[in-house]
Amino acid sequence: MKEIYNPNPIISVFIEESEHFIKPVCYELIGKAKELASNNNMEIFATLPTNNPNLNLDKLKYLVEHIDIYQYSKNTNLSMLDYRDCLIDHINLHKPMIVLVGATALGRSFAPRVAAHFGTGITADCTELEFDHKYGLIQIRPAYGGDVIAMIKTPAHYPQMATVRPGVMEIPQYKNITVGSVQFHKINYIHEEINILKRKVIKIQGTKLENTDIVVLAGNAIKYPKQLEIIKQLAKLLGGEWAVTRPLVEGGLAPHDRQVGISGKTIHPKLVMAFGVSGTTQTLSGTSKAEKIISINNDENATIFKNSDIAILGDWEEIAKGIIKKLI
Amino acid sequence: MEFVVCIKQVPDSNKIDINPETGSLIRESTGAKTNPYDLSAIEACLQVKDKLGGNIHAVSMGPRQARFALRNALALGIDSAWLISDNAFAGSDVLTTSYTLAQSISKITKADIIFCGKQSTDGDTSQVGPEIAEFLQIPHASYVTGIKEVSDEYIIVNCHMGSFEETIRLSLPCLLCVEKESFVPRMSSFRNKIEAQKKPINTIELKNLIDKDKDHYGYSGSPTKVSKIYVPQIVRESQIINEITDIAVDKIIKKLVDWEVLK
Repeated sequence: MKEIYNPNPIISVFIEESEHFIKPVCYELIGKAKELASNNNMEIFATLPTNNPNLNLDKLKYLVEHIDIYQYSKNTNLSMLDYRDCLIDHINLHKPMIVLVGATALGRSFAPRVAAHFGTGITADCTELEFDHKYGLIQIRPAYGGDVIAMIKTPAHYPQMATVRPGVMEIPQYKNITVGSVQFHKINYIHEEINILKRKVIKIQGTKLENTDIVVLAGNAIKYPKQLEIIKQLAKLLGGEWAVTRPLVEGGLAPHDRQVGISGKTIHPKLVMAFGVSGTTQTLSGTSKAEKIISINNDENATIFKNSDIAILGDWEEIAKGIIKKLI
Repeated sequence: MEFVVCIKQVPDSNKIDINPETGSLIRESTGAKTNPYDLSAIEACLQVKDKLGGNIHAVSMGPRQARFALRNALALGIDSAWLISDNAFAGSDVLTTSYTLAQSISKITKADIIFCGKQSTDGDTSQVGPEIAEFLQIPHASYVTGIKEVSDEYIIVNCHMGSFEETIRLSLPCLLCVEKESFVPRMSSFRNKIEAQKKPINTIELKNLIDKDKDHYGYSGSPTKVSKIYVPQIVRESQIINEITDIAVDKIIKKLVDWEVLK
């Protein structure tokens, strides 16, 4: 029988360090946590497992009320079980009402274990969070493959947990006047059931998607590699990157790191040109931050037309080829 | 060696509508298929069995109709199929789904390696695998892109952890969530297809599990509740331009120049 969890008015944010930096999503989570906490006198805590003694915490200290640093001895590659232990320890120490973790590869992998440990709920890949005075954390994410948005609550279990997609929330602009307290926990034990033999930074070709001004997006109407080549050529001529929606990845036409949408990437370019994209919530949640969207589709009832700045009714292939002709 | 692969039957299409008056979901009743990500889990599992030998048990949680995915797994060469089905399991969220699967797996066998797909196409959470591992108190690896070495004591895998590629050694027993692109599913042989029809599909119900408290399962045991589902509001408004290709192209080019995308 689990002991009763009496939650304290605390929102805890898991801080992920990678290659001497704190991942931006952690600041985004703190920004959202501050917003959620603003009307209810809640405090923001942070927890950070690290084996880096020189990590710069100046920015973090001014954003939160308290930080637990789990300091591992040097040259130890932490595994997800070690991250799990740290977050469980932090939660046991403070009994926060809410725990937020970035939906990074690491966060998506270890945070569910922490939720299972406490027998509580966790909602993956939230795109928005709200605070309800009766139910606490309201977790919002696209559902059923992405056509609709679901609001999910965890009414009677604590902590209320969520992982949040990187890039969808704002980094906080203001700082606290006071510096948060920092507590160091020296950890000598690491799990031996998982041993990280090698860790190497990879340069993903698709990472440019998040940092490019123009994205040419291929949708469900693109069925063959030859058609995708047209999209790639157009992207190249415009000085941008090509991307795809989920069916193309599932159909094996493109790798996952080119996928835009809830189960892919959130992008914020100046322009998205969507060819043959129907406009599921799955896709639109990945493109909603684009400054402008031009869509080309032969179905006048396509949902994407209601979410575009310019909607062109026509054959995507002819129009793409027409633009290419003008640009060459 | 004893292997378990977790598979899910998902709707063929994710197309749903909302009744604007009642707000209730209208799910188009299309067919069902095996979650495509799980086909890669089956493949990864078959590859390990090809090396080490042993038994593969496929488990699937769902209503009685979910037998299709199990039949498909049998046709691919899985040794035994288990349908985890009980009215008490209906409406499960991530926690209770994982708990039910963990309870069922420990009932079926002492698994050396459990394989899961990266995610499902209808739930999209990627959380069930890690939670099963937590309930069974075994290590797990997510985003597995390759198996480098495997023995009856450990497995060495490559994992794609966002900006890292990690090579991880896990002691057995363990659970692996595999990437779809890395394990291309094989085709089922004619012989396996015929044999699959003859194999039984075993059923696990609440009464077969160690923990028989129905409050730990299904909707009542689920900590998360969906409070509202809605179609997102329209954020942009545009006029639909319906012109012949040449004019449409010119209009696009003009806009690109106006927006300073093209110089």
